[in-house]
Amino acid sequence: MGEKAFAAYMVKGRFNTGQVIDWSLLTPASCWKRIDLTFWQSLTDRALFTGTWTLLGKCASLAAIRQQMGQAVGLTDQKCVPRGYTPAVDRQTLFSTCGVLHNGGTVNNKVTVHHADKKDSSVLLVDKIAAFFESEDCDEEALRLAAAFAGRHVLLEEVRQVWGKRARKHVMFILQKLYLLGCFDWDAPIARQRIGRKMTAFCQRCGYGLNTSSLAIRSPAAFSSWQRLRRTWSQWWSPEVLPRSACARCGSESCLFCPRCLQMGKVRSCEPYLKWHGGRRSIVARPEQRNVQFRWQGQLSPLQQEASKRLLRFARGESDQFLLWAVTGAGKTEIWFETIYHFLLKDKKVLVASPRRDVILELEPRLKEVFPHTTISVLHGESEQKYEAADLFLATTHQTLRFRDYFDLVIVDEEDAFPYHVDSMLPYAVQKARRACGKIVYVTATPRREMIDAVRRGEIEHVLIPRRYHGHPLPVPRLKPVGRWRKSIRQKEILTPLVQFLTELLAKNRFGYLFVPHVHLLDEVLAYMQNVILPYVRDLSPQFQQAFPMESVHAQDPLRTEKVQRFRNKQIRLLMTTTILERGVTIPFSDVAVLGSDDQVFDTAALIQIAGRVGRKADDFEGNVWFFPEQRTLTQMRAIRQIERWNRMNVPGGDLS
Amino acid sequence: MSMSCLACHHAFVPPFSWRDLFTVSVLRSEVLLPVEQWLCVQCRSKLVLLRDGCLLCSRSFHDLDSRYVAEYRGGQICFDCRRWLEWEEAQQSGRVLTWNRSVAQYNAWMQDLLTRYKFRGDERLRYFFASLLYSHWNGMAQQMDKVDVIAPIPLSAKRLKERGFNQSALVARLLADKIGIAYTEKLLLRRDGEDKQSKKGREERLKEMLQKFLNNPEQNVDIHGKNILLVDDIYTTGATLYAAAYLLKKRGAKHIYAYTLAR
Repeated sequence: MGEKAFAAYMVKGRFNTGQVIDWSLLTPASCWKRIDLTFWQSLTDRALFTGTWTLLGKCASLAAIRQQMGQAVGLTDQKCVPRGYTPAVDRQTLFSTCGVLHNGGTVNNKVTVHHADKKDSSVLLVDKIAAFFESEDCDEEALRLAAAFAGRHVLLEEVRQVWGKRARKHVMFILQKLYLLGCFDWDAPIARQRIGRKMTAFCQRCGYGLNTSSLAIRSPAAFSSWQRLRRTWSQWWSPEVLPRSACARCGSESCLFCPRCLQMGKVRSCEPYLKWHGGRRSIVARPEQRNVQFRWQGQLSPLQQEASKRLLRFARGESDQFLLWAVTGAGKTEIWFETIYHFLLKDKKVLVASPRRDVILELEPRLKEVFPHTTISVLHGESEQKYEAADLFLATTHQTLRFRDYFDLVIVDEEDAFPYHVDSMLPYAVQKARRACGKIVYVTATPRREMIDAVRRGEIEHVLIPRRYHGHPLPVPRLKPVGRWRKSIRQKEILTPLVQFLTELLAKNRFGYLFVPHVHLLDEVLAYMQNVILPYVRDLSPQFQQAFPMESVHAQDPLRTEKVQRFRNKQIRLLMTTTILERGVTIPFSDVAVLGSDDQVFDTAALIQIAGRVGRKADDFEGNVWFFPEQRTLTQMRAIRQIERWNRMNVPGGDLS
Repeated sequence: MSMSCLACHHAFVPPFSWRDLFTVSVLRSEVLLPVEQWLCVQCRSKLVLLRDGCLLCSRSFHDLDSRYVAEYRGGQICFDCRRWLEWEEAQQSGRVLTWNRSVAQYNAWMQDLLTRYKFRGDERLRYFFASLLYSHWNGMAQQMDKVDVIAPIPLSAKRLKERGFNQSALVARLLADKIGIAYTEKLLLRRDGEDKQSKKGREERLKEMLQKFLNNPEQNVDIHGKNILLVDDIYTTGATLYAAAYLLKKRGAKHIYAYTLAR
């Protein structure tokens, strides 16, 4: 290790440990333990600190420090300090004003620390780093660690967990070295921000404390206009505040922690947060030019081609948000393949995120086929490869919490799907994951009101594809009120529409989804269909004696994936489910019925998505969609009207209404 | 006012009472609330409160074979407690732990909640757990002699550093503040243990347990002839509590009671 750099980090330790350290005897590893962590802690809670620190040193005078540091106590000399302490890059600039007090051989030096507000991390002392690599035998382990974490913003705890098993050497030692090489920056997971007149603390990982929304976890349908009013009220009434606790780690009586993202490791204000640099700013040696191959043989329909062109134009252009609004079964995925290729060619990082894990799992094999030579990392709650270097990332929106300022292109598939807009941490996470100049593409069939309004105001570019890729119109749902069906089911009365639905499935040898509003209805409806409707149908038409397996599935079902897989393999003929299957899972030759479609669980978007399960293949473009509500409601009529309007439209990018 | 349920996070409306009409909740800065204020109806049904169980450890006899139930002073005790009584006789120490009271049954739901509290570190749950203990305390304060000191079971220094907080101490402190009894964390110290105790057998656990606690050299509370209430999170075999109580007993405490969240 270079002597000067060594001295440089001695100083930052010096001014906050307050301990007398014999710095001539320290190895880098022991320095680390004594110095960096405490240094970090002092920065943590005083993120905007300007004031005076006391240096305690064993050296005779400030001149001695100067000598040891190479005239760099002011730390303005670019040449002699590593990244992080140069004026252009720094977190703080040190001015030494020295009241030299002698007391028994030790010296107190007053050093004022000014924090620079803006960081400009683009400046890299490349030659310095190269020199480091040459002077030191370059540690493979360290480089792999840096590559695996590139672009991420993670707790020290996580780094320890992930790497502690693999690294033979002490993780902290590796980290110290990487820090000196400028691979990452120390950061505080809990930052402060001025909102109005108040300084508020917020969690940098999930944005808790920013008060972007406050009715935390609820189903999307549960927001009425009255509740929206109350949301404004409750923001004022009970804002998100990070709770304080007495922490045994740092000894502080008021250590803040974030209650929202506890699942991913507890964020405390005394826990170091590591911001890893990545992309082109990364100093990690990249393998030679990547061989990006685009292997896709499919044919785009004229509408898709047009949309793909528009998307490419957007990718080259200035604006940073794009809405790809395509009806269910329009072939959305193929449209952005080319844009991804365009970015990968330029060696940029791409993230495909979705609130739903099913969507990610379904995309994985397709993308691996299309980009055979690109490293693809798939991140979801149960994935193995959580920390690996890659060019193309596929992740659930929850997993994007770990990234920061990394992606040049973010594609949010099914952006209106369930937890995304209910949990305000997810939009925050996605926004955080892209670079300042990065672009976001929202892909959905049913954008939310806010999104459409933004499109109308011209804030977001968009393209609308009102036709499926095979050119046939969408199946229009047929609405048949069935009266008080809950009571009928309880009393085992025959509901004729259900009989008709089942007869058609049997006669035409099709598969069926039956959606019900709530989980607790599933068993009841399943029993009813099996014991009442099916025997009745068989009585009426004795030719249908073949087996007709039915099953029910819901979100907390332990056999969920298995059942869905069996449905895909055509081992289940009729699957009863809640809104969890409203998107993602598509079976050819299927019909859909929604029992209780007037329930508030099914909003317009959900109904359109459900209707979109049907008739997606070119050889099966006609299918039946049934709504069986207690009564007609506006939500259902809106869904039907929207589908009919799409069927009337012809041109992509037609008017929005 | 609707709020979100502590366990499942779904919104629910807590039951409304006459008291709410006459008090303004802002002014009443109460942190220990009744269970209905914390949990929605579904979650409340999953919280199984222990009543009429073993006299000594409040284990419920609901799913226990009658072979494992013994008579004791006009009531019934479980097999575990009978073994503890035998152990006490062998030690000739008199009653070590007068009794333990657990509030809730340690079922899957409670386990989830405790995991969230202890291992994920959701410290907000301490208010809920302290509320549970407090409501239980209200119901049975007459049964015991006056309690002089409330003390949590300590964590070892290493574990404390790792976790950042002592889960029993947070709850015990809230409880002590509420009922106005002296609180101290400085009665005992705990040695570092190599592996977590939940994996061990009873005998083994007991043997190690007795060496686990130390007197705190800087203790400043005189416990001679005093009644002490120990607070812990889970009562599994009782070894932890008996070991801690044994040490306190040797130092001259009069009665030692224990309060645990789950059994």
